[in-house]
Amino acid sequence: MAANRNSAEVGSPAAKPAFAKPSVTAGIYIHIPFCEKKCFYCDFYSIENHSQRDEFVNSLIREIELFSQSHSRLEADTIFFGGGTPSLLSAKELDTILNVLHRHFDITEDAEFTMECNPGTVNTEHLSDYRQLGVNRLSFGVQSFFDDELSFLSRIHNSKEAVEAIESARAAGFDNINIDLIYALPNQSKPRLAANLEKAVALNPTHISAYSLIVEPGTPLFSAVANGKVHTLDEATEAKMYESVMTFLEEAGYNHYEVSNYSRPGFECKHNLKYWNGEEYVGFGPSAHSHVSNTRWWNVSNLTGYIASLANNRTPISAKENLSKSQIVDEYVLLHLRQGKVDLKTLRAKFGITLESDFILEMNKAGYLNVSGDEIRLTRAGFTVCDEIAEEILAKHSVSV
Amino acid sequence: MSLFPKGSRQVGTPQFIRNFCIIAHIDHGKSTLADRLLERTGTITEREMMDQILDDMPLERERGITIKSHAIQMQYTAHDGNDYTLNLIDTPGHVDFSYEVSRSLAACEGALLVVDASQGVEAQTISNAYMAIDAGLEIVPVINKIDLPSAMVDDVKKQLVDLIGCKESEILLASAKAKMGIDEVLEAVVERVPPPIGDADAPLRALIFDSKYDSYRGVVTYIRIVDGKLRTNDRVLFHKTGKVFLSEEIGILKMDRVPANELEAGNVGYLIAGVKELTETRVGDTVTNADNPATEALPGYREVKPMVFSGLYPAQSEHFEELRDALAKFKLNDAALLYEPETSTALGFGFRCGFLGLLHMEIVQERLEREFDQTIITTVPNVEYKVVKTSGEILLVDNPANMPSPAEIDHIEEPYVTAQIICPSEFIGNVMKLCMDRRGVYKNTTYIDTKRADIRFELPLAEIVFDFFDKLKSLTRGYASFDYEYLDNRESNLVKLDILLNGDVVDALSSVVHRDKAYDWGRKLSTRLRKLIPKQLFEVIIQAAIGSKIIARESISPIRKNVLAKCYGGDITRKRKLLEKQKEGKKRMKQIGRVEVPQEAFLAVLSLNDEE
Repeated sequence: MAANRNSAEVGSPAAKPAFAKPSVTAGIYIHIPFCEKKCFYCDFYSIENHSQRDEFVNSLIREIELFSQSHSRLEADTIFFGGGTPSLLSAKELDTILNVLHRHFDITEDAEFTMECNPGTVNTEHLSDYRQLGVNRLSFGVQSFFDDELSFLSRIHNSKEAVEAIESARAAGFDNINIDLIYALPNQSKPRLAANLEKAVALNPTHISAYSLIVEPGTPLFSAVANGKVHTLDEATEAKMYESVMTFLEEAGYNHYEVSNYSRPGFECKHNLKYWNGEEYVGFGPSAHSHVSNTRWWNVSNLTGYIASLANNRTPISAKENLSKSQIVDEYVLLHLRQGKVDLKTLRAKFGITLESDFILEMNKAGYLNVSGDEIRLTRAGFTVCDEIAEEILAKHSVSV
Repeated sequence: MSLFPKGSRQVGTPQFIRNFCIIAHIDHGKSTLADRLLERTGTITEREMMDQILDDMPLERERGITIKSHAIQMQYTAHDGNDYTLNLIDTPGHVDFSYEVSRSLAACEGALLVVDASQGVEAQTISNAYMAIDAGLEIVPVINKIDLPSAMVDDVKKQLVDLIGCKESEILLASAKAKMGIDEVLEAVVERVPPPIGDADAPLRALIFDSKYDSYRGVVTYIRIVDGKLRTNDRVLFHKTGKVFLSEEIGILKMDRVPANELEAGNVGYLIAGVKELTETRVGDTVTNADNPATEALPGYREVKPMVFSGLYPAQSEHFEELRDALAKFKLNDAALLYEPETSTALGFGFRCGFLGLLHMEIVQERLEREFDQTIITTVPNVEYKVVKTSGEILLVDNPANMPSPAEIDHIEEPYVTAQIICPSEFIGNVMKLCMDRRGVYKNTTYIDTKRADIRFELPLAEIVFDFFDKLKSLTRGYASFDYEYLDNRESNLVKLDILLNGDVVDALSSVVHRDKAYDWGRKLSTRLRKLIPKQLFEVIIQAAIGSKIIARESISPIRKNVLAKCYGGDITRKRKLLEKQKEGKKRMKQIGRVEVPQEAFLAVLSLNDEE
């Protein structure tokens, strides 16, 4: 089915003239703003009221069309459906959206196509349909393998369903699977964390994202912490847990390639790497972010507003920024350090930043980083203070613009 | 061309001129009374009236204090049917600015002494009243806010009788806010304040009582003509500097400057003479006619002496030149500010500044930040020490970092002040304890009335520089008032206390303290710094030392976690903005060795007495 799409599109009225040879390869992000139930800790945009679902799909299609009218045709090698809960989409809805994407983008044959799934919303049949439509990577919001932790996080699934969801995915033919975990929950013990990691690894996913719990402003968790109803772990305990996650997963054969991301070699998430390498991506749907030729923009985080804009043929953009040279430098240093390594030669040649050797020496002595040739690499201790190091580098080392 | 009203020549003759000022403790209603006088005389309409019209700097309005003195002229038809010219010369109320009060007084023949009916006589009421008596002024006592439910008019009357020796019947009752007693005040000014005595036919002698810098016109000098006449296009001679200028514009001061062709003996007005720098028109100097000079100058004022010193540094060293320019501009309007360049190993290039007092220091800092857009780091304020070396050489040290090594010092002298504290008698114990803690020497206590005491101490100035006034207020539930005056220099057992961060002395944190207090001080300062310096990537060791002897030690453990777990969904902007905010915060800190020190740390000592 997926293989036919490019040919189906040939000669369609929306096709661009021959000059539209794609020059950059972008990622495509689609935000599905619906959830059965909003999680206690989550600050992504989603709503529990699904009454505007048809209007949403129509608006999304309109948005993709509007974008393609004002931009030259792009090639895309990653598609990522995030949310919200994209796995709420029926096969029919997904098919409709994909048809429009294929009409307006040149999607490469081997494109990575990820669908985020809530373990409480899937079964083998449903996932087989996704597989048929071209989805080749599933990302499961498992978060924990313990029911008490799942209920604290107000997830709609239990630990048994989490395991079943992964088994269904395999039955449906998926072999590229991510498991999301959240750790450093209030009162979480070290054995509990270890047990979660063991259970995740036992399912042999290609990819694990392990996030320490962030208390995001505006979430019910934030209020609970503010009122003293929930007590977060102290900094030192969190740091120790983080170090144990790194150790455990690396020893289990996973490559630690971003602060919270680990994969079997070759199974890094290509789409997320676009975010972290300053590459280009186009996002559709409420609250979706885009980055094309040094411009970032993002959509309104409000479904009604989103639908209303598109009903009037207006793009639903909330704000836009053109990145200055210094902002590009800031992002480069921040995002590369988060991938654990910075190339000093690139830093010098591209941005004119030279790190004092004293600074590097001290950081090395304190155990935060190692140097090999022109590359500095964060140690595990370095990862625990990664953002601090980025701030330090950017505050102290003047940039010759 | 003159906007001067018709017939003003007659009105302006000395017998119909009254020059007066209003003196009061802070918040006793001086500004409101001034507003009412301006309103009643039609100098300004109610509609035009902003609150506290004489205080035209935003900072003054916020703090409710007058920093620079101003003057304004009113026309008033008195009950005797004559038209009078009333020159109201405003005075600042705060203790730091007592020198400005004294120079305003010299331009007047009378003073309204305003006392709040609910507060009674306060410390600055007394010091100002004595200054006015010393200056030979006629004092018109006014009890203000008599309509307040808490007014104690009879008590306050007695206090005033005791203070200035007037008769009860001479005391006016008013409420400036409720517009009560305003006419009586104006009549009293006409009747009781003597007209100026001066010889209009003698050679010109005019006293400069204030000056300010106008970016379009240069220096505007405020003058009181004592003898003779001043006309436009006169060649004027400034006595002290010996410089001659052409009087380009003269006039009187209403809400704006009102040009006139001539100012005669007894009157108050302004002079613009193409002077570019305030230092050329010293306040207290005499202006005379270069072509017909007076033989004798008027008695001047004593030189303004800075009492409190502190280092001012740009938060970012590349802004040194901007700070220099800002200070130069600032000084155009504040001759009392002294500064000279200095270098600190911790803070780089900056300036050592001399201020009249703590409030003056705060005002300068705040205005530099607000009006001149400077981000500055200020060091702990200190006094000037007289160091007598074993060699016999005498050094004046206004920066603790420059204190010679103990071996070279024979002894150190520090400035003492006479402090006057007025408070309800139930707080005497608290006040005594505070003053004793601050190395005070008790002199005496007198009672203003049955409920309030007037306590005198001799105190080292250095001890009141550190949050003395705030402490005093909190120990007396806000009821104490305070005034001080320089007394003399005295030998004290003082030592230099150094602070080391990771082994390096931070010169900007050095202070001079009494030996008996050094240990306690060192411990408190280290604890305070531990709280103010944020965790860093490395351990930070804070030490307090006298010479090479370490007397206190604290450490700040390294930061354990600073990494956002989630950078996901393509929203890079939010992460970058967080990073930029943190980065800017770090840039505002001063790097000392590898340690990043926030600006507040340099003022840590000021809040030290709260440290337990």
